[in-house]
Amino acid sequence: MKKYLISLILFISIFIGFNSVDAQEIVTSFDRNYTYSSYTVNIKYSDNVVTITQGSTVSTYTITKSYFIIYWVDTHIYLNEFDSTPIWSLDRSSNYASFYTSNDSSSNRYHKGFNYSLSTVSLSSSNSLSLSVDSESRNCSNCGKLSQLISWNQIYSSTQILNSNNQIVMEPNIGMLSTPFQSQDYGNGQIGITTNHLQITSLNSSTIDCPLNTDFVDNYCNTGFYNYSTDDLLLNDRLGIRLYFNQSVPFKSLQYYVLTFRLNEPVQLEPTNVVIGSGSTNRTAVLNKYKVYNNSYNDYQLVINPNSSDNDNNINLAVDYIDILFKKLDNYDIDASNFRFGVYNSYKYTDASNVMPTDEDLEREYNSNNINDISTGSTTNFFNNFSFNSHGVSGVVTSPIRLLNSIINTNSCSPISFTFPHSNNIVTLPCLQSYLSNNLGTLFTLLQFILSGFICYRVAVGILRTIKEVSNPASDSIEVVDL
Amino acid sequence: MISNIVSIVLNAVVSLVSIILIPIDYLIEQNIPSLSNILNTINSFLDWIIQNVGYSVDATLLPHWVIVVIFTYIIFKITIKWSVYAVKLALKWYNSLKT
Repeated sequence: MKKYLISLILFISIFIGFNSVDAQEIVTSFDRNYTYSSYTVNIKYSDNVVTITQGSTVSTYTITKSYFIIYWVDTHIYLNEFDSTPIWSLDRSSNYASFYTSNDSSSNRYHKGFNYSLSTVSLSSSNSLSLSVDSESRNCSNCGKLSQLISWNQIYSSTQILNSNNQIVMEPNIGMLSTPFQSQDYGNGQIGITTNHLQITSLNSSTIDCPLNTDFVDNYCNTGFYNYSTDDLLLNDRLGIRLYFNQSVPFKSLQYYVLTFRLNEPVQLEPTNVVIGSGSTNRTAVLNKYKVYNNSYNDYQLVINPNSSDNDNNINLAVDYIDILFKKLDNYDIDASNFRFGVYNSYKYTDASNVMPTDEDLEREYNSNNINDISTGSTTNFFNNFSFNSHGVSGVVTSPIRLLNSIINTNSCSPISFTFPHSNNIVTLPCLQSYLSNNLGTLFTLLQFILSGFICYRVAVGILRTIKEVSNPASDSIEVVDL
Repeated sequence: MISNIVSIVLNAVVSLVSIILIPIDYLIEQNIPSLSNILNTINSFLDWIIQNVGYSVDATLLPHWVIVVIFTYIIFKITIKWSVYAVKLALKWYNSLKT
């Protein structure tokens, strides 16, 4: 009987979930005032139109996509739309926040740099995700502060970006690549810049082409991640990246160049100092590791230090950093098929050990049209949240107790969403109680009352029977514990 | 209140078991890495289930406090029976030694 009851409940839940894919919106309108620093802003959202009022300035914006995020940085208010579930992430060490989607490969990725000190992240009852900023960090006086993420129209999306420690999923920082890279006879499997274009070419001849501007300050380009196959790695010892510093563009003093790359394999390269190149053209660089909270992959930055002679225009420095990287990887028995590489930013940093975006970078809002691939490692997808933890035997043995503990302490329900294989349709199974409560109202309350009353009656009877049995001092019988 | 007490007890048990098994974990990880990977995979799967247990609890249609009452009752019942058995056993030993 119990099995049939549980099966029936699950069936009802799944049935309702499948039939409510198009009825996911929880937040359909809001009208709130937000105060930050010395100003107050009113934000209204109704009928897919956002109206932002700040003083006498009124701005309206029509939402055309399924998801949107409104937030502000200092006195600037930003709104960003997404076709699918947005993820937002912060990196405490690198002063970066990013907004992106898990399965949009082109125009819906959004990145922004911030300066912040994360204190708390909470999900309020008013369906808003708020991020408290307790103080500025680092020495970037004019950097923006991420004050609040105001709302998005499907609240369960926001509940899924927090891991068990209430930390935010982090995405490495953002794709901006300035001009001081130039291609010179780069071949397959290398990266370089042709005239005003950045190109990454693989051994199978697929190419990412990323147009660049000619003006130095405004040059940035996002290449995204590029997948190398195992064959690529085996065929060419020097595969990967060859960067050529442009002869025609002068190096600027204190300009640091940053390569960002990702390892999906559980291999950790320790932060270290490396020397790139040789002789008079060598450069020192620092390998920084990102603090990735719950992603299975590891993200790294190689920050290449400037050289005093870089102000001359006659430097032609080839950087074969990938050789250094692979020498390190040779020490590990890894499957390189998951190796991903993305060269995608170069900022004007002031300190290689304390990388941060400049004010210009903070002002940049960039929706790249050149992202070749988005990692699936940090999506909010139900099944992709599966991650490895090193608990071993102890984790397996204690899992029943942890399950019991979780059942007792879990007082909330997060809707389950997943993507159908070979399809982009996202199916969301809503929480049964909230769904029934919304649709049945008082009837559901009555149902709960009856169920709870019946269970409480059974529990009371059981307690009395137990006490009665125990209170019989004459009995020496030892009963088998009925688990 | 009750759920907090139960939670503390359960966490204490988990911690103790983990401490006891840490050396075994280490030995397996160092000497039989493939087995360690399998265990980690199983454990990750269990973690995944535990993380989503809220959905299953919600699907029972029972309020949270009722769930707590049920588990507390089960723990109470088991604890009482074992306690009485332990006391009787102790008294029995005491009487045997006395005579």
